[in-house]
Parts: sequence; C-alpha cells; structure tokens
Amino acid sequence: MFKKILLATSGAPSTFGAARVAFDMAKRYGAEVIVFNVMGVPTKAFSQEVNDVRTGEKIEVDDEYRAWVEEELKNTFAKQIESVEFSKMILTTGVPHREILRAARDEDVDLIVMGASSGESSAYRMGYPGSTLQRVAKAARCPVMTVHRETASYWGGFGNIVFATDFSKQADNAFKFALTSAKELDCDLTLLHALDISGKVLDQNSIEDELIATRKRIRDTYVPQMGDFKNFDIEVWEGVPYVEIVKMARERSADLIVMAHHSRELDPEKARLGSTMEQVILRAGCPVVSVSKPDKV
Amino acid sequence: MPEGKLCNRTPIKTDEQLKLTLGDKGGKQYYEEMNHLDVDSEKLWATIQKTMKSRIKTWLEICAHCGLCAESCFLYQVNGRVPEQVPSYKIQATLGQIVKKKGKVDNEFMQMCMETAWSKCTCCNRCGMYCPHGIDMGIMFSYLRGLLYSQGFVPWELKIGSGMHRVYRAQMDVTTEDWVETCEWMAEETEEEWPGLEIPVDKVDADIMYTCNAREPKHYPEDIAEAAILFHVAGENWTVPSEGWEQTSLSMFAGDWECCKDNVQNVYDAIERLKPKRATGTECGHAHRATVIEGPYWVGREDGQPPVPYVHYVEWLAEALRTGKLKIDPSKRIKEPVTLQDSCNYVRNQGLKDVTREIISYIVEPGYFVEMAPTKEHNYCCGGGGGFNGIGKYREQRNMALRKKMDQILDTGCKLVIAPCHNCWDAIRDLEEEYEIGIRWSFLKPLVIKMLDVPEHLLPKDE
Repeated sequence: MFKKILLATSGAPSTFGAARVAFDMAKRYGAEVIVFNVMGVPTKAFSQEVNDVRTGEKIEVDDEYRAWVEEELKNTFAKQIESVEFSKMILTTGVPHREILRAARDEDVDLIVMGASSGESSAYRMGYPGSTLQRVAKAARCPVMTVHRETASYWGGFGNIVFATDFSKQADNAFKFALTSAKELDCDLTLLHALDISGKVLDQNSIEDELIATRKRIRDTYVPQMGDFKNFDIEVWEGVPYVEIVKMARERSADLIVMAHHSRELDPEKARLGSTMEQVILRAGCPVVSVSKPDKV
Repeated sequence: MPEGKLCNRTPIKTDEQLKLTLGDKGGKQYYEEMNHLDVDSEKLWATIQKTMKSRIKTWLEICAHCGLCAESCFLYQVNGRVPEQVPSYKIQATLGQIVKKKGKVDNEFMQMCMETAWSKCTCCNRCGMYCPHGIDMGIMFSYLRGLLYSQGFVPWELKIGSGMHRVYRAQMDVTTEDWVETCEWMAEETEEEWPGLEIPVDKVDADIMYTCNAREPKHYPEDIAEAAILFHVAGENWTVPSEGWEQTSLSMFAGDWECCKDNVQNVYDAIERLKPKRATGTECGHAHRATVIEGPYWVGREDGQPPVPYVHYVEWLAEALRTGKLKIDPSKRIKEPVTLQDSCNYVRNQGLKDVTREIISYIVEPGYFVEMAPTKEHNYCCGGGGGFNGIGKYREQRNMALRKKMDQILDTGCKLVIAPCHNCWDAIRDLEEEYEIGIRWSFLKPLVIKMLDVPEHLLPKDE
C-alpha cells in the first residue's frame, strides 16, 4: 500500500525522526523513498534570491549550490539511502507547503512523511501564515505522516494502530486507511472516540449514557465495513480529546495513530491553535497519520 | 570593448542565453562586462531622433529648474534632501545630457544614468502632479530606461526579467502546460470546500477573462484559487486563457520596448480568440498599467483602449460587492485599525482611488479605516516600484526608500495594511523584514473570502 513515500525534509535534525520512519517503512514494505527538499523560499520580488530554509540566509540557487545541498542530504541520509532499493532526490525552491503538495501530486505518492518542526523559522514565515504541516495536511490527496518526538521514530513496524474518530466525512477516509493498513500489515486496530468533556461539568449518568451511545455509533458506523477483519476493539474515553488519544496510544503501545484532518477554519493561524491533531502530533510517542481526502486510502 | 557575453545590446531571446545569464550569480560577470561595454552613440542618437516625440522634447526644454518637484519625490525626502535627488536634476543630468550631446556619451556616463534611472526613480509619476508645467519625470525616466536598455545598460535582474518574457512569454519560467496544470490543480484542491468550483480554461464568449502574474502559478497558486472562489461565489461566467494569461510586464521596468509590445499583444490575442465581454487581472499595479493603460498605445490601437473593457481587479471586486453578487457578513468585517496602500500604477495613473475605498467601506467596520497621509493620488510609492524591489545591486537604496512608507504606516497606528498590488505587497513585506515594525499585510482576496456571506447552495452539502 505504500509504493511511493515522499519524505519532506529540510535536512535539519528535527526531521531525522521522520526520515528514520520513512526509510524503515520503505525497507520493510519495499517502497520507494523520494527525498524532497525545498532549498530556499523566494524573496525579493522577481529576483533570483531565496532564503535558505535552515539558516534564513539569502542565497542564489545555482548548479553549484544545488550540488552542494544534494551532497549534504546524501551524506546526512547515506546509510538510510543505501538500505532501500529505490530512492531519488528532488530539490526545488518555493514556499515549502506548496512545493511539497506539488511534488506529491506530480509524483503521485502514496504517503507524505514529514517532521513537525515547531521551529518558527522566520525565513519563510514572513507572509505565509500557518505551519507547513497544517497546510500540507489540509490539501494533500494522500495521507500525511508526521513524526515529531524522537521516541516516535524508534519504531519496529506496525503492530497496533489507534484510529481516533470524530465521525466526520474525513474520518471515514481515515478509517479506510486505518483498516487497510491493519489488514495488509496484520495489526490490531483500536477504534477510539474521545468524548470531549473539557471545560464542562456534567452529571456522571449523562456522561455514561453518552459513552454507551458513542460506542454504539462506532459499532454502527465502522464495523459493517470491516468484513472478516476481527482484530479490533472499540473504546470511548471521556476527557480532553488530545490527551485521551495520546493516553490510548500509550496504553496499547500503538505504533501508529490515524486521524482525520478537516479543519474548516480558513485562517491557518487560528486553525492551528487548539487543533486536536496538532496536539496529538506534538505529544505522541509514535508516528501520526492524518488523512483528509479519499484518494489514497 | 565589443559587447560582452552576458552584458550586451542584444535582448535575451533563447533559453540557453537565459540560463547562462541566470547562472552568473548576482550578475558578477555581467556587471564586470558592463564596465567595458561601448556606447553605440550613432545608434543611440538615431533612436532618440526616431522615438523622442514632442512631449518629452518640450518637457526637457521648458523645465524651469524651479525645484518645486523636489519635495514631491519620496526618494529626495528619505535621502537627506540632497540636490542630486531632485527629480528635475535627475532627468536633466541624464536624459537631458544625452540629448544635448547627441548621444555622444561614454560608458561611465551611461552607468551613472542606469543607477539614476533604476535606483533614484521608481516611475511613480508623483512629481508630474507637483510640477507647475506638468512635467512628468517618471515618464521621462521610463523613456530613458528604454534608451539604456537598447545600449545594454540595464540591471542584471531586469535583463533576465525581460528575457523571461521573451522566452516564456511570462516573467518566470512557467510554460503553458505548467499554467493549465496549475489551474487544474487549484480547482481540484478547492472544489471540496467549494462544490462546483471550476477554473475554466479557454472558454469562449465568457463574461469575463482573468489574467494574472506568473508568480502566482509559480509560487503562490493559492491566489488563483482565491480568485476562482470569488468568481464562483459571485456566479461569474469567467475563464482564463491558456495562452496570454500572463499580464505583467517586467519588460516595461526594463525598458525593453519590443518585448512590452509582445506582452500586451499576447494578452490581446487571447481576448480576440476567446471573445470575452470584459477582462480583468489580478491585484497587480504594473500589470494593469502595462496591459490597460499604456498597452493599447504600444500595440498601436488608435482608440487607446484594450479590445474589450479591461477593469482592474479592484473595480471588479467593488462592482461585485456593490451589486450584491458578493455579500459580506457584517459580523466578520475588519474590526481593527487598518490602512490602505494606494498603488501608483492604477491610482495615480488611472484614478481608481475611490474604488478601493468603496471596497473598504464594505469590508471594514465603520471607524476602523485610517487613511495614510498623504493619500489617494498623492500617496507615495511603496518604495519598491518600477523594478526597484527586484534589483540586488540597489538593495540598500531600496531599503532606504522603504522608510517613507514605513513612516506613513507608523503614523496611521495600524497593524494591518491592505496592499492590492503585488509590488506594494512585496515592498511592505520587505519593509517588515528590514525594519520589524510589527505589521501584517494582505491582498484583498483572502480578506474578502474570510468574511463572505456564502449562499446556502454553494456550501458543502454535509457540513
């Protein structure tokens, strides 16, 4: 199911975890890794100058610079590149989220893997609001995997998948992805809904009633789609959603969390704050896949 | 010395030459070659005799050297009010001398002219409003740029810019396929949130044809998606041409007259081919000046008008808001002090000052809009006009030039600046980067989309 993986990396240590997971997956499942790097972000009107994504320095990209970046990336990921059968490198300039989406579309990749650097690089934040991840996750046709914490990258293949649903249309797509992964990779699948009771004082009976109703909803919505797949269980936990999702992942020793991305907020700055997905990514001890569109699930 | 390999009197006409010139980092070799470039005085004088018409001749003659233009020039103001920055001096000392000497000037002089034409004038045309004789130094500088270009004395980036136009018929290396593909991509990316949204390419007999700036497909295709959203919500019968979609003209900044004509012809050909009732372009100032205001003359249209009415984006937007095609949710209007940058190219040059303010009246809560001082047709250039933004060699001078706009913005006390012009947008962005005064800036499209009152039937069904 993962034939082509696009690893979007700045080459900085904050993306090493993502790289480790991407290459491991490729090795394990025989996929191709495309190492994708945006060398610089355009600046200065129509001039050729770009800001280097890592240093923020102004540079002019020419063949020499390109060769140097390529060499750097090759050295950085040397061992990993050797470990997989197929890999190639794409270097470009542009606004990172846009170029990642462009490459994913051009190459028709099955999965985008990227770090979720919380680094606020002023080099390219100027005038382009919202995080790169936020924008990629929103528009990508394929699932987007993020690896934020170091621990999330020490990963030994998929065995336990936690699928967290909010019953949205996008969650249906995320579910399909979770189910296909669980089937093909022979995993246990936990279907979780985190009942949001944050900031509310509710009577315990009504909480419990809702837990029961939600359980039923999960069963009615997803179980009919499972076919003969039996390795699943259903959980509904009440609390603050991102905390409950991360707790569940820990409890099940999950190696993958699957969620839907569907922020309707057009302003990425606002969408970012309080987004459950973003919080889960920052905290999870395993890779997190966000699914929005039905194309590659 | 004869002409250089990169710096010469021949425009860039092939991809090979374009790549070669681009490969010269920062134009190092290019400017070195320029030091040895001979002036072809005969050709220069012949060009002047052929192209300098009565208006410019008269202007050069009747300038009384009174200096009333001095204070009108923001570059004079921010550069210590030195006499060398007085507009009349700047043009008399350059174009005036070339004419007086019948083209017999040397390399050093031409380089001085180049520096003056591209780093001491943004062709904002403000001086023309303050000269008692109505002499417009901006127009004369545009003319001087043409002479300089024809002799090979043009900043590296602009040689490349007009070369891009000649090779790709766009200011960046965006091919027709890239463009059409980008439109498809953006429609695909947007249609989920806006069911039924399309970006119709080459639709004949549409009500309105849309043209844009190559930087949009190249780097910010969201802008095309945003334009599509607004046309979609407004229910416009619109289209984009597969050829002739690029409205900008770096060749105008460069002084590459032949290429200027081609830029415009390319757009007009699209109009003739697709027969839209009207045309409009993106939020860009110089593209409008090139295609709508000056373009008709470049291609020799006797009525001085484009083939069909060609409105600026702000005119289309104001109309859509006025007629109710687009409705603003009053609760979502801007409720913070906000100011507006007037683009010289369509405000001073075409008088669209009230149109942008009409838009403001719809999208800003009453009481929050703060005018810059001076404002409207008296407003100053953003500081990066006329190609200034993109020239590495004059970066320091450009940064100095931004100070006027910075002071104007600071005086308004606003943290949000609406800049419906690519060039102004860039300059204000750079201004923040350079001086960190804590402002945000925006085109109109994203602001309007955020506050739209979208009719029920255009919303996604299950949400």
